[in-house]
Amino acid sequence: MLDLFPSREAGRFGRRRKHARGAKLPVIVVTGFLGAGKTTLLRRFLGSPAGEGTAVVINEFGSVGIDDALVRASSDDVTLLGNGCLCCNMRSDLQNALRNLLAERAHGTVPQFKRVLIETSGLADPGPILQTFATDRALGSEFHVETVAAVIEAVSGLETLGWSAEARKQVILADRLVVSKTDLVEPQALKRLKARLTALNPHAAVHGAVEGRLDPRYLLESDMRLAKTASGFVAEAEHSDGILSFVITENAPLTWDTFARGMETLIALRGGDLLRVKGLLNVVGCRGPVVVQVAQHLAHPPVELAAWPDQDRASRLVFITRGIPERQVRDLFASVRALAPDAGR
Amino acid sequence: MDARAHNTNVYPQRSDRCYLAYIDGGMFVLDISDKANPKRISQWTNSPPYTGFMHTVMPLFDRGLMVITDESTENNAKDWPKLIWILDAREETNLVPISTCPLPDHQAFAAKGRFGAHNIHENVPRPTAWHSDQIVLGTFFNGGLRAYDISNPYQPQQVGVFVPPAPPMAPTGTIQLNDVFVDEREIVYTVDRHVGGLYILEMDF
Repeated sequence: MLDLFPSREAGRFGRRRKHARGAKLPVIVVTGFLGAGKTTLLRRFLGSPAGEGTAVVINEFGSVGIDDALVRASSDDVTLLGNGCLCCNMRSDLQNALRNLLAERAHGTVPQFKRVLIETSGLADPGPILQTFATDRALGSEFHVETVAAVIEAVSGLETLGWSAEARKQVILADRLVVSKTDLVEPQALKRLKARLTALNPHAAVHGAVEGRLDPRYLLESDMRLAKTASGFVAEAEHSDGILSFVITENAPLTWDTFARGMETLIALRGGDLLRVKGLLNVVGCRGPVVVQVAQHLAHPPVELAAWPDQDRASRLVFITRGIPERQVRDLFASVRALAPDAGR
Repeated sequence: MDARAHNTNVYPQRSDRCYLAYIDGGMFVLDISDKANPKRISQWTNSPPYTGFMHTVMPLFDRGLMVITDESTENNAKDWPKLIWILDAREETNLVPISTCPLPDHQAFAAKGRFGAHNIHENVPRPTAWHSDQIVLGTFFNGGLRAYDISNPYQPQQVGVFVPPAPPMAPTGTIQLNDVFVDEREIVYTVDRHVGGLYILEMDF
């Protein structure tokens, strides 16, 4: 098709975009354990000019929608999902809620919102929520998960992370970590919590928030530079739950076909254990960085961005896996590269 | 029946060609190498069965495509559908329509004013204008301003929409976005047909 109507403006993957999301609606997922301060953060964000035009979907675990009542005052569109947890029986409710929001927007019965914020139940594992956007074609064509922010309470967060696998998973899968109530603890306690968070998720920036005050950009913008920045500190983090996270970087430009073969092999062999793979690639023949995202067996179509986010031109890919160590992934890609027909040329 | 020239476009990439929208006469590609004696190379019309008023012909030279707009001229969507058409123009003597840019259900917009295609950003050959053969921006009166990704010209996809509320004292009681221009910084300027003035926007896709 593109060969019939070639364009100098288009790259290998079609039109170059300003953002990985293209024209899709950005989705912000705010997760965090019970009482972590998600609603306070949400309320503050929705009340700020930056939060204007946000539709909110809230997942309540209890039967009384207290959180809904708190945020409704500051947002026009709040959809409350009832009794249950987003990660299990409520996934279809989330799908329906998002489809309804789109339909109502098209009919003008809700205002022209420009992003969706999902507040998960404190007990939710955000993994299946991310999976929903990857597997539901209708939703995937309309929505793009821009940011996953996990809120951790400074006072009891460390203890919670010790006994709750859900809380750990929330931290591990997040792009942003927000420590709430930092004014209520001693600096040493805060330092210990931050060290634990960095050990669990070395690739996410950690921000402090008192009474929900957080620079709204941290919720609105994904930061593709983080992976590279953080990789200097911890190459690989191993969690007690058998979850590993690491960053693979490569300074030399990659050949797309070789990378794709390696990724296809990894997905075929261990797709179910690839909890999240995302990053930027410097691909031979592409002007801008190519955004790659994989959630388990599903790879998003690659997108070439119009420009790199900074001066760094290295490829950088974050892996969050269940039991797949960094060495095996590196070895796989090295083997594929060595066997590729153009190797050594 | 109104057969006369509307937008009459000549681009430096093909200074011997005129791309002429001819209202109810459809459109023409003219050989103007002899300015005193223009010659017809091809003609295409969608009417009938459509309801005429062809407005703009914009060639996308690198891609062998043409973007053609109708103009909605009647209130309450009476002349629906007025569309942006994409033509395969690789062979200029045989223009083939391959798609239209999708619009929402016209019934939702039929209550007030005009609804349908009109102007597009025409890749004006100036250094101060934006040029794209991937994105088409068009005004649709009460349908607002819409941007389409035509990277796959067989399946244009809407990637942006801006429908402001009715301006105060609007004679039709609704917005009637009329014209659009994009500058070299990708800032979008769009105007209301009556009293709404100028809207300035950024593209974020």
